[in-house]
Amino acid sequence: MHGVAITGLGIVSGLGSGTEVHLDGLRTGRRGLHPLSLFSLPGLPALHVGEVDEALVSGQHPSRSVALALLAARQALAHQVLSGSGVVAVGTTTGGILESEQHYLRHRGQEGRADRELLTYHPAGAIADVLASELGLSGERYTFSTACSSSANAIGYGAACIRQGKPWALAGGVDSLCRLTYSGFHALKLLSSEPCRPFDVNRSGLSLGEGAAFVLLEDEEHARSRGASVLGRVAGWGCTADAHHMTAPHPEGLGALAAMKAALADAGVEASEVDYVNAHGTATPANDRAEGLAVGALFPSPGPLVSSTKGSTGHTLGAAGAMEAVFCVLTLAAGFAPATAGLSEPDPLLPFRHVPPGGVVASLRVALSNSFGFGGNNATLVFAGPTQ
Amino acid sequence: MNVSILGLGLVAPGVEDAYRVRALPELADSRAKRMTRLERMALGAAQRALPPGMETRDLALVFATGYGGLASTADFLEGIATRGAAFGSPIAFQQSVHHSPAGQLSIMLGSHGSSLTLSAREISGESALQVATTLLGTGRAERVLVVAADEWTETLAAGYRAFDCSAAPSLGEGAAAILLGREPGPLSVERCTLTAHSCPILRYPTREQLRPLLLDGTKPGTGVDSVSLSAASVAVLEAETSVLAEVQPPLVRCLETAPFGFHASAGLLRVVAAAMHVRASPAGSACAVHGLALGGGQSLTVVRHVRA
Repeated sequence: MHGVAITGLGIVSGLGSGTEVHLDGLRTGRRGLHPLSLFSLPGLPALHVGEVDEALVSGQHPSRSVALALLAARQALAHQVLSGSGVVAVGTTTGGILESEQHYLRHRGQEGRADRELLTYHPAGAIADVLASELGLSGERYTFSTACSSSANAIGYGAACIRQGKPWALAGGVDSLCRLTYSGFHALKLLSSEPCRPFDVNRSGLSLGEGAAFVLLEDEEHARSRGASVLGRVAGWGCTADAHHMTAPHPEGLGALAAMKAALADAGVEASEVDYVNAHGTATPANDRAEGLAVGALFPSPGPLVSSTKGSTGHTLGAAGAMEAVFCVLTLAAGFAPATAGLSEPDPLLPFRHVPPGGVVASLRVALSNSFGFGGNNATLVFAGPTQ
Repeated sequence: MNVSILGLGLVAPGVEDAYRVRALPELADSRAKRMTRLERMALGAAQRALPPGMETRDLALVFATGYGGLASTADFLEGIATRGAAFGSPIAFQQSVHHSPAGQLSIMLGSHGSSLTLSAREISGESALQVATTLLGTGRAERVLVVAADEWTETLAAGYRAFDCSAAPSLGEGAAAILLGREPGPLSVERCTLTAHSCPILRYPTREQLRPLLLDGTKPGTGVDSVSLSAASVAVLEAETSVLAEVQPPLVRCLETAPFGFHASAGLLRVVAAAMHVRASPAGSACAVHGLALGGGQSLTVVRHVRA
């Protein structure tokens, strides 16, 4: 196993801002889910969501997504100056639509010149442009938009670029809450009326969230030359398509299984070496069932410890893969596997070795993170500790 | 690493169509009837690029779009504006996301390989091409289908007009597809370079910024004998022309922006046009396709006819 070095982490979510706050939240089982307050939609209830504290983003940037991305990316860079031409890879589902949807709803698709600034950051690619310009990063810019696997793919691709000779890559993702996704997931009947309960026999859907997370990936020599500490490693990336249905996962989880196998093969790791799985674990009945079948098919009993952190952050869509990548790195470094917040009565049909309440303190070597987007976009990342 | 072009597909406006695709491709599969206009353009281009009977199970897909399902986004928002937030259309919502055409492509083609969707403003297609070459170069795929598509919508046109964008009158739509593989073939993607410059979010790179890459890709010794210009605006065209005046002997210039119209996927349409151009030219011919994006992105793609 030869992983790509991770030398910086940044994260902002409904739990707060920064890795320490998040690790503490995972240790204590604190949940960042509260009734929606960012906007109101007449006719829809203010369900629990993982909404970022307004004080963290207020006045930072006209686009909430850009503000979130800047906050997390700055943490990952930690004021370091990166030499050479690298890669900025961003995953996002809806980009700057929180603002542009306001323009539409006011002007119903007409010019609306008086409010045109609301359209400025609508293109998904604009986030990478702002990050690069604001943070002084030169090189290639990519924006991946594969729904819930967007930022996992951004990180996987960033690591592939390092392996191909790039000196560094800032990779991660962002999505803000917006009317489109809140109303859209309601239309799909996928929202839980209570804070989500991944893997619970009484689960009834997902809780949306927002936020951003970024990792700084570096070539060994580049990291060594600037004295950077290696926090963990991206060891493998697998990416597959279900080719089954636009909103439902393959019922047997075949695409998810293929993604996990591809990531393990890329890492040169056997399934039996995986100690912890950060599951996609959205808490929708169909997703959890499909992932359960895939995990059960891959790992010999008793299998690795499994938990979902979406009970803590909500489902942050395009940012979820990057957030959970950060959680995997923190988990390996701390030797602590977090429990699934909201899980009280495990669904007996899911063959997981759940992390018990309170979490598990253990020596963890390899972690695997699943991100499965609708449209059948599956991505899995494999992480290892800094010395492996 | 050798990256061969194994198939080309195009869904583009006709000469008299004023930048709009007036006749969508006829698609035999009945499932296509439920697809959006954007998805049908993407599938039409994809099917034209695939050789008949090709095994597609392990095919990787890299889809690109600047604005995705904007018509579906507007439909959804119009629905919640008129009927209420509780009555948004689930179909419009699922079709609003950027990767919806990629999901449809994987289903229609039965492709289980890597599926990625890229968005990079006016160089979205070129960005996807670069990602595809990485997938091939790192052994993650043997063959990759790159598809780019963007659609004209009144909402998008109104947005361009709101900013007095000079491209608004020529805002177009279309789709392009390129099948790439590692085996030798008569056409190759010899170079695919992306870079970016510090630039205001609604501006293109300046002449000084775009000059180094454009010159590097077209200078004597590269074997490039024609160039397709971004021509994203009058000022950009003047800057590109000015830089190319430094190249001797002069290159043949292609300005496909005129028939294709201006849109975020037009770059990949120009790459397809360049490949068709060099395929009809003597072996050794090469065309450089230059792309620029608002916010600072720049691309240079070179396609070559490697043997008769």
